[in-house]
Amino acid sequence: MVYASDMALTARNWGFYLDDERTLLVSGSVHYWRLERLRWGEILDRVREMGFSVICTYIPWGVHEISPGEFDFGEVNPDYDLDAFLTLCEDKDLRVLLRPGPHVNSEITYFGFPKRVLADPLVQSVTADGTPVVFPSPPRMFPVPSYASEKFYQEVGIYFDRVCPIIRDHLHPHGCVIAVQADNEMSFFLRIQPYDHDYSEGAILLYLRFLNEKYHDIERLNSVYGTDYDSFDEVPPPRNFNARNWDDLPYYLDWIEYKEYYLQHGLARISDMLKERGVATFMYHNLPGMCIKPPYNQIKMEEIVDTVGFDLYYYKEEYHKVKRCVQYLNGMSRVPFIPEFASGFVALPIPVKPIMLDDAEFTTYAALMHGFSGINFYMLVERERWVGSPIDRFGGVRKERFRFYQRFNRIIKRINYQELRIKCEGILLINRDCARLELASSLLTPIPILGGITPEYYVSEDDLGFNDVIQLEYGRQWDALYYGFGAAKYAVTIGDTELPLERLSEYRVVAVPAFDFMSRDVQDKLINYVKDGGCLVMGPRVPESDEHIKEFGIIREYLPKPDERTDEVMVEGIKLKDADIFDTGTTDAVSVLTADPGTIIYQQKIGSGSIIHFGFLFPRITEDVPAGLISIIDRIATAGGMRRVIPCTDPQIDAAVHIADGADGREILFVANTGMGEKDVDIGGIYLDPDSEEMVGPMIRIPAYTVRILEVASHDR
Amino acid sequence: MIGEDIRILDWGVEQWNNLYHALFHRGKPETAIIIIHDSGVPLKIVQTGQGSRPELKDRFADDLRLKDVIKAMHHEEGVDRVYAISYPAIRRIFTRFESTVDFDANYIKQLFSLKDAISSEIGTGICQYPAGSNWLSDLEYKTVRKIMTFAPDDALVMLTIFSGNDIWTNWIIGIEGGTINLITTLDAIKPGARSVVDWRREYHQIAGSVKRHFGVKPLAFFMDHETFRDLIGSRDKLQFFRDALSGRKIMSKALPIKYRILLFLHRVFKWLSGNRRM
Repeated sequence: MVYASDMALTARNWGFYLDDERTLLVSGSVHYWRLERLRWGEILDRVREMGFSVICTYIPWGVHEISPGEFDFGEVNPDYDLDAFLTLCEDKDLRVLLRPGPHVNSEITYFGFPKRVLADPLVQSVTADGTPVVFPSPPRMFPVPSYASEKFYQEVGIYFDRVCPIIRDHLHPHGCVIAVQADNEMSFFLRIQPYDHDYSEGAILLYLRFLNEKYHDIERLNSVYGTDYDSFDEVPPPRNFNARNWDDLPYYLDWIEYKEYYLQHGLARISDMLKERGVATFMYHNLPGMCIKPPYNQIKMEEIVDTVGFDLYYYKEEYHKVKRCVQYLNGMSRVPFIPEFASGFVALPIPVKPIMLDDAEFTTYAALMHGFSGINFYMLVERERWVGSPIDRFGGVRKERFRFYQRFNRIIKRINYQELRIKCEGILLINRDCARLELASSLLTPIPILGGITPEYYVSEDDLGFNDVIQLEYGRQWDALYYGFGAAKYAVTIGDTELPLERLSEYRVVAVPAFDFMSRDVQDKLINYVKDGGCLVMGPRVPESDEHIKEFGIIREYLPKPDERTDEVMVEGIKLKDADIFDTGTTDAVSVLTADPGTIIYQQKIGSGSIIHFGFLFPRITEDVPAGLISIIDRIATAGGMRRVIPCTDPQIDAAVHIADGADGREILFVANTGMGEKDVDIGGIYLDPDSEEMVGPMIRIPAYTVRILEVASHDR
Repeated sequence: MIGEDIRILDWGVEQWNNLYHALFHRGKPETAIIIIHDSGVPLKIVQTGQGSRPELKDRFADDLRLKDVIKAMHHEEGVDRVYAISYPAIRRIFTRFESTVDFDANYIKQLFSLKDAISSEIGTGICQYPAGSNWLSDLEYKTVRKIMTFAPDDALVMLTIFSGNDIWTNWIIGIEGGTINLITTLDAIKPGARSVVDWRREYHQIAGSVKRHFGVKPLAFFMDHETFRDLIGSRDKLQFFRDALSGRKIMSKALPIKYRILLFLHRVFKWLSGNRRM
């Protein structure tokens, strides 16, 4: 039965609307069951004093279930009284984001699942070798559940039957609950390697269902795979990457697409179960960190829930991780939301470097700089297994942290941040076809891809018959474009080839690393984007086949063929590999960059727009961007009609401009010093510093790991 | 051992930061080349900080043994260590671990399942040059369990390290039935036990306030952070600890009588053997 409820919270135009009023959702986590009930009121008062009007809490299944099917929601332990806690929030005029799981992590033993449920073999996920999948978190390792297990959903249903009526009673407009999170960090429990898990019976059935939905007819699959299966049931799931050439790839690329499908299935099941029990409200989900590639699929997941955000726990030295996450949400999400942002850190007996206040200060403003519509600080209140929050579990304050959040809330109000939208002229796309190949070709299954391990460290280096080792070079080319546009100070956000044409059309420039194959849909979309007036930056190759590695090259029809290929070209100190040389004299293409052997970047007009094609491989680029790369990117950006945000080209300085919606057209400039030394920065004009109310510029001094927020007063643009 | 419902709370943030950096932050990270191979045929070679090094595949010739190749690579490439990992071994480690781990066992025992799975591949599926220390491979769970039985039962163990007279890091560990069920710091005690004028005179009071708060007299150790760093850096930590206790560089409180007698005898023997400064 579905109960009617007015949606308090909605998302449109990249913003949250609460009761139709545009709202910046700024929230913080408070875990009622880990705090003494007598202190709830005092603690919530402290939260309010910091300037928060929204809080967030998990509801842990494993804590509330005291025996199979029997629950304690305050009947035994008063601290577990969810209904009383929500009522208190209503009394204090606080809004609440609820996260009923079933997975909550929350640093609880067994991540909030009852141990008895995880112990059931019918619930467990299974590896390619038939073992349970172990999550090695202290204080107990445990077998993770399969999101393809019917038994798992039966158990979840019993818990939801008990908890959903409590949630329902507190839904807006009658109550304080404005949004509910369906499950938590749906990510194969961070074990996303392609041939690790899930190979349980339910998961294999789900795989066959996926193939059936994709191909409908086994003969279609056979023609793509080059096989002669009689039915879908005969298709074995891959357990290793054994592709020898490009003909073999569709089978593996489908497997990665299925891994995306598996996560979507799990999310859909949980959110449907909540909705069926009357939790009809704004529904969201969170992914663990920088989930911008397969098996995550933002667009598809946002077809299931209202928004999907990323959880961000980074140190000040990890500026680019924060930037990529927030930019990607900006480029992809219906409403960019960060469901968990570090405020304190996990306290477990494991060697994890603590996130200190200076880390939180810099990364919080870095996230603000790249634009979000909602953020939840995890945790505002300390509790068991979590420390470093602004409020301790007794209701006392940790002064420096407390003042930091007070100031943060004051600043976002003063600049009316909810009215601002980051200004981006371009978008750099994740090429999902290449990213699927990257994951499919992993040689490190099942070692989890964690921390700073980039694909370069784990992908196969077999060229599979293509012009390049795509799975190795794809990431390098993407990084070169990302760091290059950033260091040259062009406002380029991040997206994915899954974005619909109308979203791409918002940008003057779309950049994407491209190789020998690209999905038909994507090729069609990109050429239509160009014909409609966009500027597509692509390279090193022009696709000649589709996602099934069948000949299809709609883009190449419009572009000149290279005259020759040279192993190496030096341009301003940068060694470019496998460069195609173009003779633009015989076509109407215009040279953008000519090196010693000839044109290596050209621009071809098509319809109302153009394609800028670079026909070479950039070398491996990191944050220490060489001047030569900035110069090459400058040529491309200028040809694409882009303008720099500020004149400075120091790679450790980054800048972003936000513009207010509506008539006043206010502009705010954010400038970040991402390095460990103080910098003098040319910001190209005179700005108002809202903190000191003084005019500053064009040269300003920025301390290490600091974001300056300036209002545009007048400058020479 | 670590309890299933261990309570971990009220950690001093700076205290954890100090301890983390003292224990785990080793300065310059190790440089390494990692070779993933299948029966000696290199599939992929990477170097930390540099990414893929495909050109190193040329070092593998038919007549060279893998161990000779990695030894030569270590010398020629100037890295701290070279690892050669057999592609199937990665999976074997996980399979062995995940099929043997006992979900009802304590966490230390579970970690030993993982350690045993990795150790079983050392020298075959995983080769390294220079060879690493074998102490971890040789360590058995029963040894750790035996060590834990020496820990006082139903007690608090406290370690407090000072920088000057400020608490640099402090840890209070609760043990019950041989299981660690509490990890906290002096931040749990409000207000007060943290302001100290001269820790060498006042450590009794700190231990007293812990006793008043938890109702249990802690077995407490106090030292300055120079001594702690020396302890971390020492080769024979047990010997260093014993010597520092004897020499009162480490102060203790509520040390059981049998340990006090041992310490006294240790000092006497040292004195008799000529090391009279002890």
